[in-house]
Amino acid sequence: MEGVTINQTPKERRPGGRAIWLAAVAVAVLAGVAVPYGLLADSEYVMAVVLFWMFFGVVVVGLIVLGVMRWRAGV
Amino acid sequence: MIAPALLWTVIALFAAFGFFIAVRAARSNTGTAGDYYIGGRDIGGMVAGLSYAATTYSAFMLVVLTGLTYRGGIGALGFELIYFAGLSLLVIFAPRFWLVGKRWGFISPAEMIGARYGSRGVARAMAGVSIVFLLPYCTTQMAGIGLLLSGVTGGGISLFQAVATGAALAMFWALLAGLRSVAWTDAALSIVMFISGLLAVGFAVSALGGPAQFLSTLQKDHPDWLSVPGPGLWSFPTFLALSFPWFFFTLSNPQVSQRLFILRDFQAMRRMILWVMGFGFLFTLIAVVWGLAALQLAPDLENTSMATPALLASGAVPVWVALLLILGILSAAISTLDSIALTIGAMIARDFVRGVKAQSDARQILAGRLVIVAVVLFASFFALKQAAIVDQLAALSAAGLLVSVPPIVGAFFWRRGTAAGAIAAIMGGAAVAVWLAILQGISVFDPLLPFAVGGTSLGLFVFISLVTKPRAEALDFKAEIAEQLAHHRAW
Repeated sequence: MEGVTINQTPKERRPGGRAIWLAAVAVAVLAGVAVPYGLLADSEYVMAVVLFWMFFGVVVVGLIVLGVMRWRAGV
Repeated sequence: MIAPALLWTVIALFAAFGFFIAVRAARSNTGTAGDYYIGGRDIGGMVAGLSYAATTYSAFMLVVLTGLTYRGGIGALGFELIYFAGLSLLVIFAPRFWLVGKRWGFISPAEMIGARYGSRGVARAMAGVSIVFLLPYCTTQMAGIGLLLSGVTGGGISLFQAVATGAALAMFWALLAGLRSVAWTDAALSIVMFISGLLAVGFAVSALGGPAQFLSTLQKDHPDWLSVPGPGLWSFPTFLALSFPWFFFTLSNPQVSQRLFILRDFQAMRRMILWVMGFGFLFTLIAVVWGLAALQLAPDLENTSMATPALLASGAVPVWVALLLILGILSAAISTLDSIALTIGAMIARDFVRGVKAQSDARQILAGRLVIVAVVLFASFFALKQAAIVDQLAALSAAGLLVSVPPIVGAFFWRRGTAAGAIAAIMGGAAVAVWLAILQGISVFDPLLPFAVGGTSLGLFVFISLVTKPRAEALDFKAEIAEQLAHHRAW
């Protein structure tokens, strides 16, 4: 094929970061169960579990926003 | 108590408002099956998001979740937030559902999965199992309407009158203009639900002396309710048993995943997810605070499902706010009913009726409309009868619907998945669910149930797929949409 120019449209590469994002979601969900029932089970601060779960909810919101804001929305 | 005449007046105004929206929506329909079932794939992000929120955050939130908070404390918040975390699955699956739906013209999730594995049997198995578990779930929505309207009027509105009202409204909105009227009414009424919920919680907390006093009293009088396992309900096994299947709700419930077909474009998809997320997070907090407020303002209830009606009738919340909240809950229940009825209608019209795709759009819509009437009548009848088997299947729905998750994930991520594997996963998992829950009496609060159902379904899917071959007519979703996913920078 030497001397022949092939006009190819470069294929778009799959965006990176999926594995890291999935790992972050998995860790967050596991923490959402394990921390209140493990680390905070005997906490003396009565609001500890409530505040942790509020924080957990905010982390989930952050992860979802991170996932969708990178989308290219055009056709 | 709220006077029945006043409540009837408000419901009449609510029906007139819904009628106006439904008629406007009907004018926008072009008469195709795609238009009727999925709004012509032309629904914007805000309407889709609020409609999704109204469907997924059903009457469950202010009736059941509030009751669970009242009975067991803050574990209800954790459970609901694990469910909320399941919305993260949309980041991965929403673009995939939408792209393949648009490309091959899918209307129901079962139809999509059937085409992926090249088997109408897979579509029928998924549709059949969904119907078995979703019909009883409809009954609980109808029962919720009955409980609410008769509860806040002290029986002034009978269970029959309440159920008949819910049935009439649900049928009318879904029959008239299909998804478009359901989505538009959902969007408008979910705003009512959110604002009235916020106002109601504000008044309830205010009646308890303000936020600081509310928290202080809670810590002093009910410290167990602020920790896990709390006063007893939220043991670790119970938390796992309820949270695990609900995490996958976004994929496992076809009335929700079908919403991913209705979107106009990627921009609408992003907006939809952000709207659902914002609504879901804030409404979860509202429902839990509402339950904790009920604990103080309406103590010692034997039936904790009555927490919301009891708090609304307690006088702590002004009547006009209580009426708005009742409308919000009523509309959420009707939205869930309508969405399930529409989805079941689409599945029967597309996956069960032989050769229906070759038939006219009018016949497909007619088939769906007949199914919608049947679903609503079924739900109404069994809500009034309160049959034990229906209650058991309704409680089982979250765990039972898990069986469709392995074939759905495999459809997009595992080329080696086969039709035989998918059918085995769906039917085998469903059989285990029914055997354990109905015949062996395993409670939905026992983690053995969801993990056995999910594990059986996953194991069968992988094993049977490995020992069988993919069909020649199976579609390769993964390869076919890879470039478009990359173009949209979607994971």
